[in-house]
Amino acid sequence: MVDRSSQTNCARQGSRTLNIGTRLIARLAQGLVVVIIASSIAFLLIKSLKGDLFSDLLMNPNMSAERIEQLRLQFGPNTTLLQQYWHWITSVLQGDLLWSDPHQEPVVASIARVLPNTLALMGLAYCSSLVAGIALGTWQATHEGTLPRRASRAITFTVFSLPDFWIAILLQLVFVTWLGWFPSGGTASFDSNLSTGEQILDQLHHIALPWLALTLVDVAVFARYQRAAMRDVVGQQFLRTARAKGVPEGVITWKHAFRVSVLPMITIAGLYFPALLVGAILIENVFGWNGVGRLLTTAIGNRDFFLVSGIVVVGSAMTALGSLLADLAREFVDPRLRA
Amino acid sequence: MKDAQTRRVLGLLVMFVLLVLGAPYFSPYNPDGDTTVSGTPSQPPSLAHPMGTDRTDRDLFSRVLRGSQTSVIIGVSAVALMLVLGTSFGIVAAMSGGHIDTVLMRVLDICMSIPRFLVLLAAISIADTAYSLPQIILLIGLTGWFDTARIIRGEVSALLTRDWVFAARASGSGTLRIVTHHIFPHLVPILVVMATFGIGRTVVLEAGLSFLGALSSGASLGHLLHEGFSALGNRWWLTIFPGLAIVLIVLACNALGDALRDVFAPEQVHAWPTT
Repeated sequence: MVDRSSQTNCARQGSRTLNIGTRLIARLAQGLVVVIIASSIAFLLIKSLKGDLFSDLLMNPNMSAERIEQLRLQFGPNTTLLQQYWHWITSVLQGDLLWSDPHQEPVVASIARVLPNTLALMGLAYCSSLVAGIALGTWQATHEGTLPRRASRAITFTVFSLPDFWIAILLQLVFVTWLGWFPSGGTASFDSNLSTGEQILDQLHHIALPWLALTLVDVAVFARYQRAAMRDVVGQQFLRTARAKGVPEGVITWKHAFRVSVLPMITIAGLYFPALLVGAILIENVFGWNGVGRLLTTAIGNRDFFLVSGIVVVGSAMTALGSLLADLAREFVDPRLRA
Repeated sequence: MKDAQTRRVLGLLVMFVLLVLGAPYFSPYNPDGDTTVSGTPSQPPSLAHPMGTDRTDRDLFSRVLRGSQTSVIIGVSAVALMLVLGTSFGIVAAMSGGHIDTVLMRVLDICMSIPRFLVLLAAISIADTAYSLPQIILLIGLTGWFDTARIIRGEVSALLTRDWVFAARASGSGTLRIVTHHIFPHLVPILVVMATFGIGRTVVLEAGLSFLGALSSGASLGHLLHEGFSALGNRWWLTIFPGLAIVLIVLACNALGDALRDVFAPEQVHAWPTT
């Protein structure tokens, strides 16, 4: 297996360096098509379930008469679903996600204001859970049968089955309501007298619980897969050879076995991105974290149709981008996939 | 150790099925009605009310029993729908082969990259009318069969190259007979394992949607969580116990799925968090 892969690698080296730009563009185009189709399906589904768009909007006192007239022309009862979809998709393709009336600003502005908060939460949880999960899984696979490992296996199995938003609720109850150790919500205190260092500490104080809730389950997920991957590698011949040569056990684990076992984890990490997004949406609502998930539930409460559709577009784009990055990372790490 | 583990899991599961099926019979109070004439609202857990009562004097234990029933019904029916759709699509794709297979798989690629939870949440909660139980099952089932289809298609493609399929072809069996007699029986173990994990996943998906207030009918466990969360500080039991019931259901499904996978060993099926 090792021999064949190095051969293909050598044979394909030339075409790879030629093609990498072209293939990147092709992959990006594919991602864009997926986002457009996903958003279209979402729009049509939401629109067909929503029925009349204006029964709620017309009651909004902030709406100007000309704005209502314009919306009526584009999305009113006299237009067909196809015409409405055409107006919507052409705007989206021009980067305009239309207007959020309850917020009195473009949908793009509403999303752009909270997106960094969601990305910070997800990015932090993703990185820390990947590192911790892979380390834990490797340790579990190399210490089979010992008592601490059996205990940790039982714990990861249980945590794996916990819905992350329920963990979030537990953390909220214990550390916020009962103990009062953490702030009850939001992304930062509204205190302008803080120095830069204090501001950073304050933000860490706010992100700690949402981060923990999102990370705990992910660590269990990644540890489970890493343990399985590592166990598949542990029995293989090249490790026996290394051991026979007198290579120390630590080097065998981390330099030989680990590097092979971590390959499938990149696929897992890429596939996991949508689950992370769902977790973030739910957990943001538990902790009042001012991100896209919170914006979505507020928008739903306001019956803010364009904001809801806009968030679905952004969510599709994030999902597509996540799978694109995973594909690229896998190709970068595993030379056998460079074709 | 494996056997003991499996037995424990099966015991847990049997207990569950009995609890859920028998909920209406031994549920101590009416889940929708007052527990006493004088009224005992917002009681913490006690001997009379093992999980406490809510603000309108309903017994939480009875409500959790009925909620589990609703959640499991949604889970089982939606998963059944997913398996039927996914298996049919996968078999059709693999049996057709060639361009049809390629096109169907590209369609599947696109469907799989739709953020399902986001779309379901948006579509359901912005709709004008509340949804009935069958409609919820239909929506969850119709949007959840893509990964099943992918796995089944891969399995069937592999099975098609096996000797017994060639032999059946050579002895004149038609496509339909090959599918029903020589392909489908080999899919059953994978389907069983996928169903087990799928039920747990669907229960969590439904709980998540209900928790955010998307599904209001049915009084599932997620809906109880949604109701309880608004009073987390004052009446913690309203959130903790419905959550524990969800955890137990998912734990039982995942443990049974693991045990079944050890028996049948379909490598490609795993438990997976909700997406």
